Amino acid sequence: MDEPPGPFRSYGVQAVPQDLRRLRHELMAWVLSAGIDEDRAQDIVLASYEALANVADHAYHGAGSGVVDLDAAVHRDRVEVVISDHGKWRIPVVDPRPVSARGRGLLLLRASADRADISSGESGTVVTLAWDLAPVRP
Amino acid sequence: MTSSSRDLPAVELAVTLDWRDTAAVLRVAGEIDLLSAPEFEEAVGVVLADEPRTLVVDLRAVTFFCSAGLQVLASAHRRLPEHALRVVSDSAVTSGPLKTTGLDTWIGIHATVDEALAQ
Repeated sequence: MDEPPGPFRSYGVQAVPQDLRRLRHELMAWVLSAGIDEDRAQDIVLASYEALANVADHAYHGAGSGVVDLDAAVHRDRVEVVISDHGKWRIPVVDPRPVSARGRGLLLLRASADRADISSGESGTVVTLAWDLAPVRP
Repeated sequence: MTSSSRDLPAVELAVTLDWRDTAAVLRVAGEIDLLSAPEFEEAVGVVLADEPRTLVVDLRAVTFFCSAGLQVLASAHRRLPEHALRVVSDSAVTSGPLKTTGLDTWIGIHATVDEALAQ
């Protein structure tokens, strides 16, 4: 990678399917423009989308404003995506059946990122996702 | 072996259904996300209503796949006999989420439709 691209920011996005798809496409275009390989780009976009989908899910159930902010930046050694909203995440209802229909979003989110931190406070929820980049050879 | 192909009504996705004897082969193309998952679910529901003995879902032309799509497959799995639901995938875009979540234990992943039908 030569010069890392500038950060990607998208604020005040309505957490509805159409707008979240558009945001996903924009994020993918930015990630690829950063020279990140396609496999990793797919992980970044998948984890980010699962976080966005969770915002949509809890907004749909009446928790939170249904508006989401996304910040993405390439640092020297990592890519970071921060997704913030202004609601509290629903505690997933545990489905004891072996092949339950729901509740795989967080699993995918965590598995697709090198690090995933979810912090929920009075003002909302912040999901911070990070991926390590291969060290640049001198 | 009988085979008749028809397009299922869909806007977000391109969905084609083929019958091979008692096996239904559902080919899906497009992005399966929050916007299109309801359509995917409806297409699967239409096929399941005809009670196939085997359902093969060909996801090779799917370019995005997430928990919304997994949810549809998990529901379909529960409505079918064990190992009757199979997926065709040649990319980590679709096989990755199935493997990550362990759903591939119940839903077999195959490289081709013929391989999926032969199981």
